[in-house]
Formats: sequence, structure tokens, C-alpha cells
Amino acid sequence: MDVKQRFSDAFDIPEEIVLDVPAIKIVSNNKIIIENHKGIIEYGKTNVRINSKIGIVALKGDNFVIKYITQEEILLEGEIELVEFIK
Amino acid sequence: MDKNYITVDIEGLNPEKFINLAVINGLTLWNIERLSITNMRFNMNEKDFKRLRHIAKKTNCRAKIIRKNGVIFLFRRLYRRMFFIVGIVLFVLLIYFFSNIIWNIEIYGNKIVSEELIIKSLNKAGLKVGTYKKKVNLRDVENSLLKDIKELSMVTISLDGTKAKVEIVERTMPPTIMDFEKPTNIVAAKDGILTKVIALKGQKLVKEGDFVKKGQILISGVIKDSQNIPIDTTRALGEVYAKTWYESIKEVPLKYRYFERTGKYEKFVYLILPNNKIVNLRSNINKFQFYDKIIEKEQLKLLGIKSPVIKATEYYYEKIEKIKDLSYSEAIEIATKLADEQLMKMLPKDVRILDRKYDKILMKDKVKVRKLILTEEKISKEEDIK
Repeated sequence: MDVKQRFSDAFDIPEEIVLDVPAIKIVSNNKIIIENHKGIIEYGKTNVRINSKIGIVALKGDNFVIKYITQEEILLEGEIELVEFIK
Repeated sequence: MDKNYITVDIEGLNPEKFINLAVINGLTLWNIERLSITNMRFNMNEKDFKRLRHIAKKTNCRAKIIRKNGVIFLFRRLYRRMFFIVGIVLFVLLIYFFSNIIWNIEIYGNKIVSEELIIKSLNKAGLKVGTYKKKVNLRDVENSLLKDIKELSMVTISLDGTKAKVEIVERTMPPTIMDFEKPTNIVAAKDGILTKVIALKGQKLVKEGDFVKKGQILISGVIKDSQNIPIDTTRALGEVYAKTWYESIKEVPLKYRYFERTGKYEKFVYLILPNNKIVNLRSNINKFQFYDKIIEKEQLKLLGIKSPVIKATEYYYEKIEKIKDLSYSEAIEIATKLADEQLMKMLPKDVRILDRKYDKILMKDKVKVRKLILTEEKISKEEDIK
């Protein structure tokens, strides 16, 4: 464990803020919110790959639409089949 | 996200890179759709589009606005066409304003009272062409019209759009009472041979078959007894009919001189001011030897309003004298025509034609035509006794 993680544990601050790691929230199988992303690598109807600190978050599914994108978060909608982390 | 947004298409080899760069620069994009490998479509705030240009250059993409959504764009477009909008508003206002003005007055039902009199009275009461509808109280106008013109028994005014309809019922006035005391004579208005004498009142001085001269007393209002002593004066009443005649004699020489218009004419226009001063617009010197002169006068109108200035136009038609050798029959024809024309002018309307006479006299170098019309007409005329 490194210092930052210990720091967040000690003060009970969410990890994603301190460590800048992605926080992913999936609602049902058709909505996914990714915080702390590092940009889109690939975006298509069936394949989406999003960069993050811990690697690439790859999504497979159908009819993907980016509902909105800001510096902090991405909201994706579509039929999600698979979420994969690639180092 | 804002209600006023634009839809943008980007085209490039790596549109993801474009989106990443835009996001890093702090833009918010929504509803990103992939159209093809090279195309993406998204929505964004309109005011951030300037920054997009710069990003597009960097990533070798082309950005194009597809649609502008929201009211603000509509307003902006309208603002650019401001004068158009102002025109529409002005138009509506003017229509409203002018539809509240009385533009014409129509009068129905008047037989004896002249329209001018009614309109004059209406104007006095406040109903004029050009007055504002709401300013006029129709009931007041009706009442004042009834007071003003005694011959009217009922007036109804109604407004129909910009038209004021004035419906009138006239009072049947009692007949004017004849003054039987006023002493008058009945005299002849023309020369003639009497055919019928109807004397209702007064002393009859003539009888049928008499020849009377113009001004001769036919029925006298002065009643005399057998010794010629006046007893009484009265108003003479009666009708007298007589045979009259109209004659026209025309001579036409066989060497017939007549004038013919050459077709050339000159036109002079000048203005006559209210104090009878003449303002020449051009010098008018007529250079024709023989001419017909026709003057046309016209009141100048300014915006439909008659001005006191009269515009007069003088036409001079050039004529030349011609001499023609006529045969007897041609000369008679011309003379007859001339005589007919003169008779038509002389003949009053309400006469009965009894007989026509037509004489032709041929002479060495001319012909003479005499036309006579015998008629019967009323020749009696009232005349006051002094």
C-alpha cells in the first residue's frame, strides 16, 4: 500500500479523489457512469474504450451513445454486455 | 445543459482525439453519436464553438454546425431582420388605426332632401370622413340631424366597417298653399295661334283661333265690368295652348366654302388663380390663321382635395378653307342638314309636332332650303300685376 491509499483510508476520503482512479457506476445494463477518466480511445456503436489511470476500460455492447462528456465524467447509454479492464 | 445549443458534425481521421482535446479544454459535449469511422455528431453550447475551431485545426478535423436549437437563435435571426419585424408591427398598427376611421358616408332613402345638405349637416354634428369612430356618438348625431333638417322624420346611422350608413325617412311635407289673393295675369310666352284656352279664374281676353304676340295678356287678373271699370283683382288661373312654328332657312352656294381641320393643333396650359390671375406655363401665341379654339377647365386636385387653382388647357386646331363645286342635289343635302341641326336646337322638349313643311328653291348659283315645323304647345305663363 502506498502513502496516498493509506491517507485516504485514514481520513475516510473516497479513494478515487485521492488516487485519481476511475469510479464506475453501472445502472441496470444500459447506463454506465465513469468518473476520473483520461479520455476516449475508441468510440463506436458496439465498442467503447476509455482510458484511465489503471488502464483501459473496454466496454462491449450495442447502440452506445455518449450522453454527455466533461473533464470529470462520462455517461454512456446502450446495451452493455461486457466491461473489461485491460492493463 | 443549456436549452440553446448547436449540433455539430466533425469529420477527421481521429475524431476521438478531437473529443478528448475538447473535453480537456473544459467543453461539455452531449449526445455524441458515431455516424461513420470518420464522422461524429454531438451537441454543445453555442458560445464554445469559437474554441472548437482551434481544436479542430490541431487534430486535422473539420467542424460544421448542422443545426441551431433554441429560442435565442430565432431571436437573433429576427433581430437581424429587425426592420422587417418593425414593418409588420407598423402594418398591423396602421391597419388597426385606419380601420377605426370612417372612410365614407352613404346616404339611403333621401328623395327630396339633397345629399349635400345632409352631409353638411352631418359634418356639423361631428360625423365626417376621417373622424375616429369612437369619437362619434351616433345617437347625438342622429338627434342633431333631425333638429337641423326639418324634412326628416327619422334618421338611423350605423357603422359598417369603415363605412357610415345613414338611413333616412323623409317627412311628407304639406303641399305649399297657393296664394289666391296675389293678383297675376296669364300672358303668352310665345307668338302663336291659339288652339285651346282653359280659363279657371280671371277674365278671359282671347278666344280660340286668335293670333297672339309674345307678352300679350291672355287671362287677366283684373276683372272689369261691362263699362271697363275694374271691380276686383285676382290670381288668374288657366292653361292656354297655341300653334307655334319653328323655321330655319339655309342658303348654300354652289361654290361651297367650308373649313377642314388639318390635324395640326397646339396646346397651351395655364393656371387660373383664385383672384383670376393667369399664370402662363408657356408663352401662348397662336400662329394659325383659321382655327377652332377649345378651352378645357379643370380644378386642380391635390391628394384628392380640390384646390382653388384652375388648370385651363387651350387647344387650337388649325383649319384651312376649302372651296368645292357642288351639284344641286349635294347643295340641297348640305342645306337640309344644316337646317335640321338648327331646328333641333330650337325645338323645346314638350311640344307636339303637328306638321312639317319643306321647301327647296334652286337659284343660279345657290340653293335655299326652308324647313318649318308646326307645333302645339302650352304658351301660358304667369306674370305679376304691378
